Amino acid sequence: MESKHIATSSPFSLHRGCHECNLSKLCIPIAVGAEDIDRLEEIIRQGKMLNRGEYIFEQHTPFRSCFAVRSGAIKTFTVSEEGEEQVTGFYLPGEIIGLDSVSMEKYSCSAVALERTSVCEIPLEKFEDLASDIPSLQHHFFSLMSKEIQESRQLTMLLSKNSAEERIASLLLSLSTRFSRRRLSGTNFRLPMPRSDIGNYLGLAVETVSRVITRFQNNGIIKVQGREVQILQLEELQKILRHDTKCLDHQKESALNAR
Amino acid sequence: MPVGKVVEQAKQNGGNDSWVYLLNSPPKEFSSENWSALDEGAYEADYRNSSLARYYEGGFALSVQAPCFNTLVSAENYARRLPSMNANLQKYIDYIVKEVRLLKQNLPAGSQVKYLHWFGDLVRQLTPAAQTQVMYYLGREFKLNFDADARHVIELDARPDSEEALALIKGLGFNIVCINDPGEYAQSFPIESLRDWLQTIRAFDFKAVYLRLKVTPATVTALSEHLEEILTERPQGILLSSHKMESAGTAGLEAALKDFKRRIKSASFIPITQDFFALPWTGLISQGVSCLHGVGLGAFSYTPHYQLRNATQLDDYYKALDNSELPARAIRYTQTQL
Repeated sequence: MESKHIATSSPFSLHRGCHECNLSKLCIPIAVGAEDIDRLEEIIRQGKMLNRGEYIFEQHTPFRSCFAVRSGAIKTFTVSEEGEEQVTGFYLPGEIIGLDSVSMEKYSCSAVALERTSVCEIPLEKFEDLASDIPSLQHHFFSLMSKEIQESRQLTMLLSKNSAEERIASLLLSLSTRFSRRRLSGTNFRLPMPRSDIGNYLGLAVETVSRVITRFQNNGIIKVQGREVQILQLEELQKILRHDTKCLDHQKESALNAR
Repeated sequence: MPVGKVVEQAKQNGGNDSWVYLLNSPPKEFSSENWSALDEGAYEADYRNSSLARYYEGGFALSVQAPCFNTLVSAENYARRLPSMNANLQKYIDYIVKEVRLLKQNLPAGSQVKYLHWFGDLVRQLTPAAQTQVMYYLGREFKLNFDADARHVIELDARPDSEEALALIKGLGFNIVCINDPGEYAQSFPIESLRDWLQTIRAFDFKAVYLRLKVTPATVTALSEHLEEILTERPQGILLSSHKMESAGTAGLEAALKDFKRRIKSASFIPITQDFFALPWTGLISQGVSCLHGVGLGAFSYTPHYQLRNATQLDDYYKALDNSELPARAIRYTQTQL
């Protein structure tokens, strides 16, 4: 299928159920047969709209639900005792937030909409009851959770070891992969987050982020206009990452796509 | 015989009530090699009557054990059974979760897991999702402590296929890795690349890395050749296994083992037991835990007085859990070496 270049704010009918949702192949319903989707829809609150800057949940508040991003983009972050914000992740449509808190009583981070965003709420208690009836649903849920854990740990590795170039290349490749998963263009996309958030997330100063992006542009690897990014040389971006770089997800999917 | 009566008998025989656990291998000797069948339901009855509960009060060690390894099958049968286990793995995991939840229901309120240990083959056998599922329920049922002082140990019998596997186990909350030579069950244990393996694991910032090595005719030459380079990586603890040294024709091995111990001590490791060596000040001994509870098919549990073994046949294991019974099936007395 030909990829399309669209922004993260793709038009969805807000109250469209899991049956019709374009993202169901990425989200929870992937594991559920048609006959069980109705049961799933009964517990999932679909299409809650949030404006930019609005919170989905706040750190240290009681954990109740995970959320599937339906459109828009979300950032998660923690705030230290000293009041310093640390961005912990960016979430795009089809991805689930809150998974890192499911074994805790409180949310381990806050989640805020980066742009106008819609989410589906998955109340965990009801979800667990349903999942005990539908083992495939439960197993899919744990697959998503293990992936989240791996990616978060790999990010920690990335931040502790790699250079600024490697970190930014890794983020761009990660976004590229995630857009591709949604059958969107993996080479033309709009960054949903400001550079300050990118810097915070990657442990870099905003100036460093801008400098590296300019360097990538000067080398003809990417083209950037505002938040619009065009990856001109995907392979060069991959080469920037060391052999043992942690963007394994991208490498794997690239290999699969090449088959 | 009900377990409670066994406990009383063992106490009369002078059993010691406290020991320290080292890498899921409590120093132990058995007063009898023979296992006795547990009366059906006796285990649960004893929990209800609190005769077992006292072992768990104040904290206990919990060990999740791989299927097959501990079910007395030969190495050959083990390899043969792996694929069939894999085919039904998800069902097995769901029953492990059942056992965890049942155990929680049977324990006195507030029982804390002070030491968590996963057997070596689990990383190879379980999918990332299955590992996450088991850890999720352990965390939820026992409110596992994930602070810096937690002791969550995972064994690795083989080098993980990718660094993603290490990222997952680190992310799941394991903070101590035990590289374990599974002996006859492994086709080859890579002594030669152990140093490189240690470095890879170290990159994930685990609190400690332990080594459990077997001195056998298959490993003795490589161990002798590479021991110093392994010690340079400063694993926090080294357990040299010598389980099969009693057999005839092992004089050479005994000499090698003696030599290895001398070399380990020369590298500033301190002997904790006759086979276990640790770097000074690593604080690796989990104190104040007198009971290790094993979860899984054929899993072993230890108290200072006796050892229990779970059902070793899948059908029997599943049946016990379907009947909401903990699946312990056999018992034998123990005496600690300490």
